[in-house]
Formats: sequence, structure tokens, C-alpha cells
Amino acid sequence: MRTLIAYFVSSVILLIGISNAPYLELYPFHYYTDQATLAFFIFGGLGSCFLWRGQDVKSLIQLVMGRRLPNEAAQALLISIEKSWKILAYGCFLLGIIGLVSVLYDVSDTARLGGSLALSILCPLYLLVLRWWVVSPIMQKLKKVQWIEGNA
Amino acid sequence: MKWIKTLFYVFFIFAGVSLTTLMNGMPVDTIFEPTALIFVCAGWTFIFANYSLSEVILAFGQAGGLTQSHLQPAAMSQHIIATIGNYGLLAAGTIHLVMIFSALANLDDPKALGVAFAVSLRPLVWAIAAKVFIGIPLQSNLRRTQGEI
Repeated sequence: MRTLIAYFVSSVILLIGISNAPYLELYPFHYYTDQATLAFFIFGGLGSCFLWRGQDVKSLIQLVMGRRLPNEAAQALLISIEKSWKILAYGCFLLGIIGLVSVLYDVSDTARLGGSLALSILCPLYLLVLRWWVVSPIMQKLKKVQWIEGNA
Repeated sequence: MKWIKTLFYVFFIFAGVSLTTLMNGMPVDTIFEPTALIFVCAGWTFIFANYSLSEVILAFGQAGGLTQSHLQPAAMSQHIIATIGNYGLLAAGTIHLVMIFSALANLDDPKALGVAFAVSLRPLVWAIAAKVFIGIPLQSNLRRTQGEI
């Protein structure tokens, strides 16, 4: 419940910020969706989980359902998430570099350049949103399990 | 006596940043624009997804030397403060990229592009200032307390 409230309050603050920020021009949602980047995130994200064990998946489901996790399971899941995150982030970095190299080959057409650069920004943008809204809260929850179990 | 040291620290940091920006002719009100702080606050709010308000207040109290250190493990308080800083950076980074995305529409007009790039950095200025000038010193303070225990 507390997590949902935090998400809601954060979204409201974000909306207040967007409506008050001078110079911030938001485009319609479809401008921020690029199928190639989304495909990389879906397949890359699933691929980066190849180190996970069945127990990690079970632990993650338990955590999302709000059930209590034992310390060992939390620790194992935390290590797996950290490893997967590193693989995904470095993969995204590589993709961004590849995108930039291909874009900067021809800088004569500024309209095309602007569009391509904007598309190359989507990859780190998705990565940050994923970290902020999904990965970090899960990792914090797992670390908190460690504090509580460690002090019990 | 820790809180007196904290006060002095805040004063010196404030004076240092103000003097540097004023002496270089930088517009402080444009750099530290309040609406950009709202985005960073949206990031900081995420700390309450896992920690209660009392735990967060206790962490800051411990770091500032205002509350007793046995109420909450110092390592946990240190972690809470580090996480708040990281959430702020993540939120600011996200908004920075969203703003850069819209700024690239003005690639033909260098003046508009410059303004849009400058504005996009404002949330990052707030987030980095908070992390460097508040978060890291408080974390170091807690680390020292942990060492003393």
C-alpha cells in the first residue's frame, strides 16, 4: 500500500513539475516510443536474466505479492538483479554508441540528424525510467529485508 | 555540538556557491530555478515506497547528531540518505533526457537550442547539489558514527 501511495504522490509531483516548468515542451506519447529500442529492452531484459535461478523468480513473485522473504532468498535475488542490471545497462550503452556512430556519419541534414539523435536518447531514457520506477524500489525492498532480518 | 558544525558547514557551502556564481556573473536565480526542484522532489518521494517517514527523519536526525544513534542502525540511516540522493539523480536525469529530446527539435535554431539545453540541466544542478553538499557529508558523518560504535 505504501509503495502504491509513493508511486501516486511521485506521479502527482511530476505532473505539477511538468505543468509548471517553463520551456518544457512535451510531445504526444507516440513520439517517445521507438519499436527498435523497445524490442532491445524486452529481449535484452529477458536475456540479461539468464543467470537467474528458479528460486529467484519465485522470490521476486513473492516480493511483488507483498509476502515476507527469508534473508538468504532476498540476498540471492539482490545479487541476481544487480548482475542483470549491469548487463542491460552496458548493453544499452553499447547500443547508444552504435546509434550515435551511425547518426553522426551524415550531419548535413539537420532535420534528420535531430530526429535520429532524439531516437538515440530514448535508450538511456528508458533505462533511467526502468531504474527509477522498477529496479531501484525492488532493490531497496530487498535491502530492507536484509536490515530487518539482520537485526532480528 | 554536531549541529553547530552542521550549521557552519551549511553556511560555508551557501557562501561558497553564492560567491562563485556571483563573481563569475552567473545568474543564480536562473541556475537554481525552483520549478526544476519539483522534478527532483518527485524522485525523492520514492524513498517512502520502502521506508516510513519516521525512519527517514531518524536517519537525518542521526546524521545531524540530533537523535540518539541506537534507535536505528547507522548503516541503515546511511543507506536511506544515499538512496534519497540516488533517486533525486535518477529523476533529474530522466527529466534532463526528456528535455533534451524536445530540445533537438530546434536543431536549426542555435539560440533556441542553447536555451533548451541550459534549461534541461537545471534539475541535474539541484540533484547533484543536494547529493554532493547534503547527502555525502551526512553519509560520511554516519560512517564515522558507525566507526566509533
